[in-house]
Amino acid sequence: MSRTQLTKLGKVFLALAAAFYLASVTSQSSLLLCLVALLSTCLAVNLFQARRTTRGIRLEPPGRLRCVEGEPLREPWTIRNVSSGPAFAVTISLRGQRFFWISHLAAKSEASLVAAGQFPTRGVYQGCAVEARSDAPFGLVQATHRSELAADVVVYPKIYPIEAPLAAGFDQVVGGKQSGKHRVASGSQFAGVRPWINGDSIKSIHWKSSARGQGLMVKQFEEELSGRTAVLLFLNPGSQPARREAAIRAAGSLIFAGLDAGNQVDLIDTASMRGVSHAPFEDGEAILERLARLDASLTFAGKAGAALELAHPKAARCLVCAEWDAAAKEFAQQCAAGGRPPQVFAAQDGMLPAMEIPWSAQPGGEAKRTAA
Amino acid sequence: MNSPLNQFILLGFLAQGLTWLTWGHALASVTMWVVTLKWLRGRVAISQNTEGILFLIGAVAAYFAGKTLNNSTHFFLGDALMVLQCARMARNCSARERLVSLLIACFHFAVLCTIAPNIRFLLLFGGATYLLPRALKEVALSKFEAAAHPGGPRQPAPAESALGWRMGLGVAGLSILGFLLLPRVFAGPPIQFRGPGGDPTTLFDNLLDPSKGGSANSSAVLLQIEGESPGYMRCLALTEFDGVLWRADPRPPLRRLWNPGPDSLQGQLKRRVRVKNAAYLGRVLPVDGIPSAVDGNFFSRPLMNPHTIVECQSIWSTANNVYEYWIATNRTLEPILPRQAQTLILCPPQSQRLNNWVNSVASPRDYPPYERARRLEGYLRDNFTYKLGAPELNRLNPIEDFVLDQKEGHCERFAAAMALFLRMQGTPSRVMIGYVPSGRNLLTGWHQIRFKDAHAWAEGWFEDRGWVIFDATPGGTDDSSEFGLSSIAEAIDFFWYSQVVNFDGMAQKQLLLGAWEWTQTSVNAIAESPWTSAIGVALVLIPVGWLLRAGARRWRGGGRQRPGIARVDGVYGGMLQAFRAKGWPKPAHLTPHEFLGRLERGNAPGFAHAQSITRNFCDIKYGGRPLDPRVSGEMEEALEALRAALKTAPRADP
Repeated sequence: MSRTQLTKLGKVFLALAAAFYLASVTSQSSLLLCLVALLSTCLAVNLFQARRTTRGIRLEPPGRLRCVEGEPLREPWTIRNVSSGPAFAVTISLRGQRFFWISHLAAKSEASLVAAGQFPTRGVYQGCAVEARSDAPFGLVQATHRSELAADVVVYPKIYPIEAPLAAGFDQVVGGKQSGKHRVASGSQFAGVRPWINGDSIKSIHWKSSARGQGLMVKQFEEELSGRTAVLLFLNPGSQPARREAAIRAAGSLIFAGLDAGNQVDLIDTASMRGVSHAPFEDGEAILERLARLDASLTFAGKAGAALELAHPKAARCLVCAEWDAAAKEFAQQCAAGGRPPQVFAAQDGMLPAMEIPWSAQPGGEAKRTAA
Repeated sequence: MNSPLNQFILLGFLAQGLTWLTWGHALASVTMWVVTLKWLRGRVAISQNTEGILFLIGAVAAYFAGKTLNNSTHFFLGDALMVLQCARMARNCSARERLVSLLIACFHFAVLCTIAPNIRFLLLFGGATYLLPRALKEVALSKFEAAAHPGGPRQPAPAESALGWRMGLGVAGLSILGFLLLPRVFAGPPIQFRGPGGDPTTLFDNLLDPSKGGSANSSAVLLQIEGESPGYMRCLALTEFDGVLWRADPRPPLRRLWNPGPDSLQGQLKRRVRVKNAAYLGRVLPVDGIPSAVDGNFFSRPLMNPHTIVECQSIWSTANNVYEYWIATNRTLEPILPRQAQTLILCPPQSQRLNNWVNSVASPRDYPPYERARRLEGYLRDNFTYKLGAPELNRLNPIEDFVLDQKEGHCERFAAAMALFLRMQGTPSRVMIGYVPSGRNLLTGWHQIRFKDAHAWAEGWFEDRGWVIFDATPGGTDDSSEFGLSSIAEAIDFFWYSQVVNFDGMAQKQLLLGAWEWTQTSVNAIAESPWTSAIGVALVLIPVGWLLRAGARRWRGGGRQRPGIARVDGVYGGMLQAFRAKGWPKPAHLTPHEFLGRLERGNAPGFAHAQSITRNFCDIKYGGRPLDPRVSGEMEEALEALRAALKTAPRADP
């Protein structure tokens, strides 16, 4: 779909041509019409050239279109000029934002460019509107050619550093980052030897120390524990879309902080009532992909109990809400009903990290803190 | 100076200069432009407030200069805008300011269109067609670059900013097409009788005594006449004399001049006249002889008064103002009416002194009136002096003062005196004013009448001869034929004025009708004999197509060389020249790198600069490295340094 319109300068030129034409009406010399014709020709040539330029531009995205919100795409795009004339002063916009500035591209040639623009918010952009715009060569008429991008752009939420949420239900996991009080027969951190007792596996015998003649000794390791955290994403009904995005961003940041702390993190979307468990060793990009595809337009409409059933029963609960309003407080209270009060984070505007709501501000107050 | 915008501004300066119709003004404008760009740019800090003050000072100065030099003061605003343009050229401007400068240049050019519609306009318009699109492109691209790299240094226009030859041709072609097809409407005042720069009422005063009119003594062509030996072209008859002044009959009886058709005009002498600007004619069509029919394309209802002056009911201007008239060669003498004869001999009684003088010159008394008149004419011509700007005559007896005392003056005085002498002899007479063809353009073969060919003469009526011309002005006119550059220039100028400047709605209609008729005729011809037509068309189109293709190839071949490569060539050539002057010539068989090796082995001075130039030259010219203004600047700096190093170095042994 193409559209052409006069630029400001074009309007001035048209007015100038009209003024000269009117002046020629009262002049016995027709030479003013020469100038009118020249100005009109510039407009016409500009119209033709700009339309040809914008129609001849083809945008080919890189194979993998993944980026983080607010950050540019790093892979180069291929821009091809298939028209028979050179392209001048072309801008290419995606979703209304200018991504490429092309000063000159020769006819039947291509260029690889890194996008200057960025996607401001997380999400999956399907069939993005691509607008090639040019007012070349004279800046009088601007032509816009619209098309759809033949690829999906996945924009990940921006993850920021944050303290890991509290975890509970620690299980012994090889590679777990929490140290337990006990010594165990397997692990990655060698802690010493002890005398063999009946039932110990032959594999655990430490032969070197056993050879010293004090009897069979077996190896002991530090107990490695991994906790569990259930991140409950609560998108408040009636909250601002920007706040919901901030809540998703906060949830992502908390998940990664929890994973970095060696915990298993469950993400429970209370709006869609879906829960996904993430192991500490899971590929981070898969998590970001899931976060990118979350539908922020859905808000919580059920009961906290149903959402909590999706979480591991031993997991510590971490509630991330878009706004700390009555609905969020009620949800937090329902979460605390089982004697497991949640740690609450409320999203903040913009890219500010989520704010942890102190226990004192939560219904139940100090009692909760003690329980936690 | 290389910026198309600045060049377009220069064009505006030239246009503004030419609106004053003096080359001096145009020269001053160009000087301002050069001085600003060459010496003031970057050295003078001009703020916007200073610009405003300069603009006002320029306006006031131009206004008073116009008054002091007795020239038009209407264009002082344009002059002030020139000062503003200079002030802006002296500094780096924003994109908006550059656009305003471009619009001001357009305005300057537009004023020229209405003021100076002569052949010089064609040259300037060619320049405008070439420069305006480039200037627009330069501004648009620099604006784009500024938006693409906000806060960055000002980018020079990319080398690709030059328009392609196809677009250049397209712009020129479409401009011409637009000019031909734009609907013409004329809603201005009707054509006024006006002289070249003078008051309309004093046109002939100015023309006949150009020392009063200044620009009236012009060599500009007014009419062109086709036909053998055109005679005195009459425009105005002065028939009433009150003793001091000759006046025209305010309401002479008029009769319609019918065009009887080609059959009845056979055998008559035909004249065809082209008029450059109908405004200079008033409602009168200059004719010689007594026309029996008049036809033309820029007037309506031709009428003739008893003094054979042809007037029209209305007159307008077309692309090609042409009229034709036919003169009967064997026409019988037409008697004048007795009442008219009575009127044409009326004159106040003259002094005894003048009567005696006339009788003594025209003696003897028994000679026929015609012979006596010829004697008087001959006496005036032989014994009096033709002089422009002669002193004013006595207001009470001007003719007596002229004849008896001053004995010098311009043609109108001679004509007035001669007509009076005729009346004193009892012969009906009148003073006629018009033009006398003075030369012939050998290129076109047409006789030319210029403003300076305006003339006055007397006519007397004799029963046996009819109206007879008496031209008592000494000197007469040269009937010289011209051929040369001026002849060509005049032919072009006349064509330009009549075909382009006056291209109006009617001419446009004629052109379109002509094109339509030609198309219909061609279609009919093709329908009647398709094979012959096809062969004919092929015979025309094939060579034309071949020529166009060859031309396009040649253009493209030229275009393949990247713009700016000539600059790089020039730098390398300059380096070779500098080395040759110091005894290091580059043999033709050596490649640039081989030559560089030879320089290195020979410890040539400035080798480092030569190395830099050679490497950049080879990279750009043969390596396809993109042209970068920074690199070409570096090369030029290296060349300067090399020249400096070689200047002090001794000459190498051959």
